[in-house]
Amino acid sequence: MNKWYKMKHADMQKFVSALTEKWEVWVPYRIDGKWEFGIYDTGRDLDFPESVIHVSLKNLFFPKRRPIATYDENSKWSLKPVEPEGKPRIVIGLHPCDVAGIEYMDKVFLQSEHKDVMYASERKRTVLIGMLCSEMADNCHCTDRGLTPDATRGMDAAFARITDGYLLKGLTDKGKQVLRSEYLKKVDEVPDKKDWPAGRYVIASPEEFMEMYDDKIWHEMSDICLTCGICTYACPTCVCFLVTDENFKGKGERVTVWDSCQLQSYSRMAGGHNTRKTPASRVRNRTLDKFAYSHLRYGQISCTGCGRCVMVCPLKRSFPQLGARLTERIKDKKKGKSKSGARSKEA
Amino acid sequence: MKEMRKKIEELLKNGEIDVALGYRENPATGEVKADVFRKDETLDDMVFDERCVQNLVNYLPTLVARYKKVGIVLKGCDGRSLVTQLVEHRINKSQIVALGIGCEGVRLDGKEADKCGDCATNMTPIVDYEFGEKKQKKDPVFSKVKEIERMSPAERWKFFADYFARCERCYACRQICPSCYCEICVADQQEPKWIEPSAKLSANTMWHLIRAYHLAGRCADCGECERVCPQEIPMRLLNNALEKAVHELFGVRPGTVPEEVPPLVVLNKEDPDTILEGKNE
Amino acid sequence: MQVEKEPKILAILCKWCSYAGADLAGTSRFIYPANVRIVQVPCSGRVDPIMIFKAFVEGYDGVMVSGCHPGDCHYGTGNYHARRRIAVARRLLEFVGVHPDRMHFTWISAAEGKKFADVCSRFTDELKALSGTEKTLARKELAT
Repeated sequence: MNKWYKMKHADMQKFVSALTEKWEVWVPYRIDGKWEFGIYDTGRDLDFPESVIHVSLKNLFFPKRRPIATYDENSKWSLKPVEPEGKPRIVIGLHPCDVAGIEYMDKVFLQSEHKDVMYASERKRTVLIGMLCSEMADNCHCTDRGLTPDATRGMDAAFARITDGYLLKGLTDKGKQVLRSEYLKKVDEVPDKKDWPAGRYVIASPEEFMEMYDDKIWHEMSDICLTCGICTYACPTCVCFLVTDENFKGKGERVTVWDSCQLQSYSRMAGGHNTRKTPASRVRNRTLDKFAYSHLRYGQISCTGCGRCVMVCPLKRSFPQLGARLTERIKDKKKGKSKSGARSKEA
Repeated sequence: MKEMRKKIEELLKNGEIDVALGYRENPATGEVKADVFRKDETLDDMVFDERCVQNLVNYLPTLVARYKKVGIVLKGCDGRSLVTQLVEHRINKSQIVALGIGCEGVRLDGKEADKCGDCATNMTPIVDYEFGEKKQKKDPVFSKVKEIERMSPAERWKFFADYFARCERCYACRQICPSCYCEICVADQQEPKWIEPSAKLSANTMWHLIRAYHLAGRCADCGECERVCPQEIPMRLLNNALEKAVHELFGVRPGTVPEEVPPLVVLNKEDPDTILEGKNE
Repeated sequence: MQVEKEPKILAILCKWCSYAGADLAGTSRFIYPANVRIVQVPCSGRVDPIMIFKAFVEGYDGVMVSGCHPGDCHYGTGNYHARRRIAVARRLLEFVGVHPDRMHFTWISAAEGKKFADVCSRFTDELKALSGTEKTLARKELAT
């Protein structure tokens, strides 16, 4: 049975406007040529990008700066936890790679030993209405990370663009409820199935990556890297944060702030010792975290193939390519080993 | 360009330099990036044209630590920034072979880079081998700085606050800057914590002010900070304002004269007290 | 509250001359406004411009720095360094929108208690005249 419904382009605008009555609606906006999620205000034209949105959704669930407790002079500096709050909200137009990023964050914040209350509340109040990509952008490589641009996994509802409107489909109860609308018409159409290109940045297995820990290649790779933190801030699965107190005039907040393993201060300890002083060690940490550590810890590598790290890199360096290059090196090494093994046999 | 490539090949071959730092073109994509050229490779993909925006001096300290002698391709602005590094004894001149090239301006996002309009010297002040045409020294105009200076204080703050608020504190500007090399950056200091780590207006303001101030009299206007900024904050404006101030106050243009000590590390008993007075009065 | 409208001034004074000058102003019973908060530093050469930036960001209306007269520095040359640094810091602050009248840099010797009192009164008056203009740079986070 066909579960896709059709909506005209003009109706989509009305449909989303109607949603704003009950919900806080987040849609992609184009600002200076870059796509970014923002709260929808009814007057604005609705448009969706064909492919990846430049700024990831991470900030909605795990904000750059989030107060977790407050204190002041009057209460003798005792900590008062900040209660999670917020209107129910809908995010419209996120892509399969965004969902994959959220799924990974779920594993970190919800399914591990310690549950993050704030994250859980942000997650609970959000309905995800995903959009199927109609093309792959220059840096997209989700097909190499076990996804496809038209996967609907993890979404509450999904939609796809067609020539004269949109095709929509509810996937969970939450999603189906949101989609109950007069503008939807039952049709026989289904979104086009496409053959997506793959194999741009195929990477080795986590175990193989772990073997590269002591390799010299990290120095080569960090030669031209700035070790600034922007790739980690743009990455939908980078979830490191710093807890710090910010005070002003007799009161203060304890906040979590994004942190980045690429910065020198990240691993500096009391007394000044730094476990990752060289750029090479920091580049290694991030690379292995994406392709190996995450798998060992959560059973899933934490690269979703969105390509945002390449888009934001000041030097336009390609992190996925770095992974591919490493993979080549791993292969070479293995060949070398088996060769030398063969030789030793002969001898 | 051909001569330079030949010269570098020759220097690599006869062992005068161990590696050469230059610009490599990726033939498949047409992108030009900084890269290291070694003895055993052809230099066919080494280029120098308007796409060579990067400042290569930032990569020197790591290379100098690893190799005895490094050749480096220098534009005018990179040369100025090399001068500032040599003056601060971060790099030893005996380890460097400077290959200066008469720069005709570089292009960014399809138009001539802003910094090229204010370029003081198109040829590096320190040079071992010179290629291309050397132009006359000229004084930068800083037209954008003057534009800001015509605004009222409140207007200026509005202009900058909008930009500062966007900062994500990725520190790409710090990392790319050849002159930003403190062992522990003031922004990373825990005690005292002058600059809060979170990305919010007050902390971002502190960061951008102190970054600009620490570069006063040292910044040679290579423009890398502004180029790499993912949020496109006009950091060159702050740098240029201080460049202009330092020239007006002490008559120094950082980087243009070899072995000129940065004005803020020396003292002059003859400085008039009037330099402490507000400019707008 | 009336008190809130009074401008707040941060005065960074060197230990040997200007702080002693402020001391003398006190012992000589010169009257000067209570708007001034004094920070003592060993030498005006110790004044890092980050202190001045921080003072504005934390909401001070004006910042005043004072050291020994040129030539009188207890450490020989600290105030010459300070003069250069502060001159540059001042240009930067003016450039991003701090009103020039919000900064005051001067030399006060240990014998000039009267000058200290005068400078404080004049600076306070100047800042009061600026009360209508925006206090740029001042932080808004946590400020309410």
